[in-house]
Amino acid sequence: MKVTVSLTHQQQQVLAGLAERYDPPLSLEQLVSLAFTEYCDDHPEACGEEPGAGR
Amino acid sequence: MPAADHVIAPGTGLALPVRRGQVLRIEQIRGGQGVDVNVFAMADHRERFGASRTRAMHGLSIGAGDALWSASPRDRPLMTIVADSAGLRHDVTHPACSAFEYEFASGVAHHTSCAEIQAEAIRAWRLTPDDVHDPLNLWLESGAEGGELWWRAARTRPGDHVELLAHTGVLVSLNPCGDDLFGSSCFEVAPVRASLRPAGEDERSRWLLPERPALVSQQTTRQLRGRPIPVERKLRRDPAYRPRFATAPLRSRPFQIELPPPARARIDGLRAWGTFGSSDGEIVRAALWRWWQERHARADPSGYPWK
Repeated sequence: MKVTVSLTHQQQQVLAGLAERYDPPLSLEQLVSLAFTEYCDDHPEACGEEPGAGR
Repeated sequence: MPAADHVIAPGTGLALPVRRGQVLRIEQIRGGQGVDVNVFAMADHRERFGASRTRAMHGLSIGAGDALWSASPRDRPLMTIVADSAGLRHDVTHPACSAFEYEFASGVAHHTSCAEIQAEAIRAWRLTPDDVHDPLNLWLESGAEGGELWWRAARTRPGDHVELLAHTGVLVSLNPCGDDLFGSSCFEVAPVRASLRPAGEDERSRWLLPERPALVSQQTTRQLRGRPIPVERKLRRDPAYRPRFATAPLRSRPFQIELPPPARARIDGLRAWGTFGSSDGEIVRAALWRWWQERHARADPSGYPWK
């Protein structure tokens, strides 16, 4: 699914610096998608899942 | 041999200059005596110990290895606790006791208090009662529970001491806490000893930090020059003031993010908590920054100055 996320200029700067540290570098959109996935992997209960589900 | 040795009597205080690379030792004589500490940068007294910055860096109390940070916009370590014979944590949450709180509690005015003693001690350096700031409360243990702050007197013995290494030239004002009503110092104010010595080579190599700030945002006095410090006490608006906020306007732009399944269920799961936002975009953004805080944001002050 596609979601529209609004980010300030300074938020973009923080994410741009982080995205460059990946090999290969990620686009900002890829980084946000990765962050969401990893956040829910880290906190399955917060994301309405049992631990281990949805992977 | 200590470079200087002072016994600070009950009801009095001492403002002591400490050079960069010197160690200030504060020592119990009777034991069980709390000590209030204020710190000012010698080069610019407007830079002073910031209890709230220190709490943010180290927690509600500090111990050996923790720094005494100055307040914003300087935000730099002024001193570090390099030794603590009792291995305790020391309060940075409570204000200096003041004559007000004794009068408030007892109905009796003019009680000896840290705020008034500090004011008199720093007067020797032409500082005023308004310059007394929230202190480091040595040998006062503290914390928070259920939204309430608590404190209790630390158990110390004669000879117990704390040593503070100065990273820059500072004026340290200290006094035996004037409390004899609430039990922070055994209901009797006792003298304490203060002495100075140069840091040893091992202490310098282990603890001494560069004077120059590590980060761009840690502003120096030089950067603040050109902003006149008002002398007049009454506030008056500057008719020539025009706002020039450095980061405004704060512009945003939308990004289209492709999320893999089961994104819909995950977003709905997060929405149910009520703390991630309402729209899908708000929820994904909240998860993004919580992820960043947990995985990438720097929170541990150890190792400062960071590279």
